[in-house]
Amino acid sequence: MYKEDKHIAMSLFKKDYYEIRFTEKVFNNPQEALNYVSKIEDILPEDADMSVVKTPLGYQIEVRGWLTKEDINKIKYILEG
Amino acid sequence: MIKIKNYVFGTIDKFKYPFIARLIPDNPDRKIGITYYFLVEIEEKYKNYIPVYAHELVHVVQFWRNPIKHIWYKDIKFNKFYELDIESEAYALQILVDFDFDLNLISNSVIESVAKNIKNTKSYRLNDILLDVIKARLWYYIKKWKNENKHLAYKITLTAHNLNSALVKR
Repeated sequence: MYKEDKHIAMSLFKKDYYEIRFTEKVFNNPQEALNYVSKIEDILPEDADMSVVKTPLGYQIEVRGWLTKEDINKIKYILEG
Repeated sequence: MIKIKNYVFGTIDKFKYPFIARLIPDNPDRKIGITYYFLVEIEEKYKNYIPVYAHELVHVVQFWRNPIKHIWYKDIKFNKFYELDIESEAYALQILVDFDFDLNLISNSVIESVAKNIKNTKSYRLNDILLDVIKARLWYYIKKWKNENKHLAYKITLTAHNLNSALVKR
């Protein structure tokens, strides 16, 4: 019983997958989004990565990783130009 | 989203629409993804194909919208028109999320694959009528996902990506 509990606690706190966010800005084509990806990549932490995804709203940028509030603000700043 | 052993527990929209998900081994007899009410199963081979996740999560939402109606029509009455409706809603979002899919190219093959998903459609004549109905329903739901249900569609897509990340270590 104790072992089971420990296992659950471990997987609850072990970060074996990333947090994912979509940035708010919606693009009409993937190329437009890719231009921003290269700009944002420079300011992201090393373990984070990005890709362009298709959502029902259009094309959006997906950021994968554990981001701080500062990181998110920086991304917003770039996207808003 | 919480992972315990091979199972992932999560919700789609904050605390609404809870679900359990897991990967299942490849099996030629089964479909690429199956949903039993709120248990989502995805075949190992398609674990990186996001549109399938979106499709199955739509079925979870459909179950929680009205569980009694869902069980009654789908599993007790085997109502093919209800099944047609839920499948076309799920396919509509799947198509919207699919990178390689152009909305202008909704061909008969897509509509036929929806028809194959619906049980009790053996009669050829019935299939013929169904194809037109499915086409109309697909377009109806595509418009609905893009306008009225925009928020939910966005949440489902985000959950699909999160679920993929939780199930598959990158």
